[in-house]
Amino acid sequence: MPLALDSDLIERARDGGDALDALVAAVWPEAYRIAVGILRDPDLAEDVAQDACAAIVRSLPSLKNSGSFASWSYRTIVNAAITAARRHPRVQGLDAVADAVTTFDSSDAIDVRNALAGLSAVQRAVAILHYYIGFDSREIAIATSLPSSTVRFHLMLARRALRRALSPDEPATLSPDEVLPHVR
Amino acid sequence: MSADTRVAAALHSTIRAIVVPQISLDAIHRKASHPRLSVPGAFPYLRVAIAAAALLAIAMLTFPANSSALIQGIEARYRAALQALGGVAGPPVPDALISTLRSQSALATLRAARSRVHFALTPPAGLPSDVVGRTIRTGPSGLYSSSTGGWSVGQPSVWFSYRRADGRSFELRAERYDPKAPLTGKYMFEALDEGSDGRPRIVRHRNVAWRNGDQITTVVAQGISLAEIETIRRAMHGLVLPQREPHAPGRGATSKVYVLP
Repeated sequence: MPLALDSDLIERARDGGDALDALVAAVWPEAYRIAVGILRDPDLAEDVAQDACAAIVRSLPSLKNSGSFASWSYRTIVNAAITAARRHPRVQGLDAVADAVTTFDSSDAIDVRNALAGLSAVQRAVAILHYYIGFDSREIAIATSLPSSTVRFHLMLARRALRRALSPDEPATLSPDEVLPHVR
Repeated sequence: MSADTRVAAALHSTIRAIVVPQISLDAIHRKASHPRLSVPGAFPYLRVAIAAAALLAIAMLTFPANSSALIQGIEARYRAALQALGGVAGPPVPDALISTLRSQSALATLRAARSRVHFALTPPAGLPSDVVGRTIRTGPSGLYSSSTGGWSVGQPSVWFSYRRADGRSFELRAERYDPKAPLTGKYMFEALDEGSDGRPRIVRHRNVAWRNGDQITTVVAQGISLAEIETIRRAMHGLVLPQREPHAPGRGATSKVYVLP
């Protein structure tokens, strides 16, 4: 999981002050990048990332286990992005993140970025949760409030699109037997 | 390197390449003091209570097809909340009834579905153009009467399940129209898996109903927009039915349970 934070910092952040600001500053890059990845709209993503960080600030005192902070934060961020995508359907399906918001891309990254553009916001969220954060389908279902079966279907479509982007020889369709056991 | 590993590496590289703007701690703290976003795992019990009140008022319960222990755990919260509100809470849905409902649920063709129901089945029309798959399933509902205090197996209904090109799916349910039945509710409350804190996750969806002869069709606005539902209703020449807002049901109410296919 990319977001690895010192548990001591999380505990101190519960009391607010500089520790809380430091914690939010550590979460911010992940919140923004994930929001851009899902929404493909830098301005909206910044607003959503702020909302997610604000929700984390507000609810941190009630978080029982600081060890679950990272997964809880990711759920909050993805939830905020999906909610925004539903409220702003125009952002779904936009076919590019402005070049200005990315640095160097490898060839594979360019292909993946183009493949992501062809997915829905929810499918991008599922792909990011699985491939970037490392959630399994059950954790994704909890994070996105989607039924597990729907998550597996979205993940199958996302996986197919991403694999084909990297390997044009990849079969156009994957059988459920080939895909589903991996994500269960 | 396997295809999945390569995808993960490329996606990781793509996300990490996004240039992050300067953080505005002031904006975040300002938003933190004026909340507008719910946080997973922070579902307040009050909202569960409101959902519970609505649940039986709309005479409709949906359960994910998983363990009966989870179903009963969620039900227990509903019942406690209903009783606290002064409503009437029925007993738990018996495992045997759920098993019966599941065992009597079956895939069907349109012709077979027509032969299994006791009303003139009007199939959906005017569907969204991106529908890529359809499944028809028939099965009975479970009924609880607070007058008799017992559960029984109700009449069969027909589920039309559609899959869309973008991966979303939606369902239309057709069943026999009963003029004596209470109005359908404006919302459907869906109980999802419990969160990491052990609390059930409740999602509210808009529920729409219309009538064709002796058939009532209901659609939950999940995976389909209200505008698209209205297009379907018009194409089917359905008569809009009045619906009611959620409230705690009184004594004599009938609860209806559908085990989702």
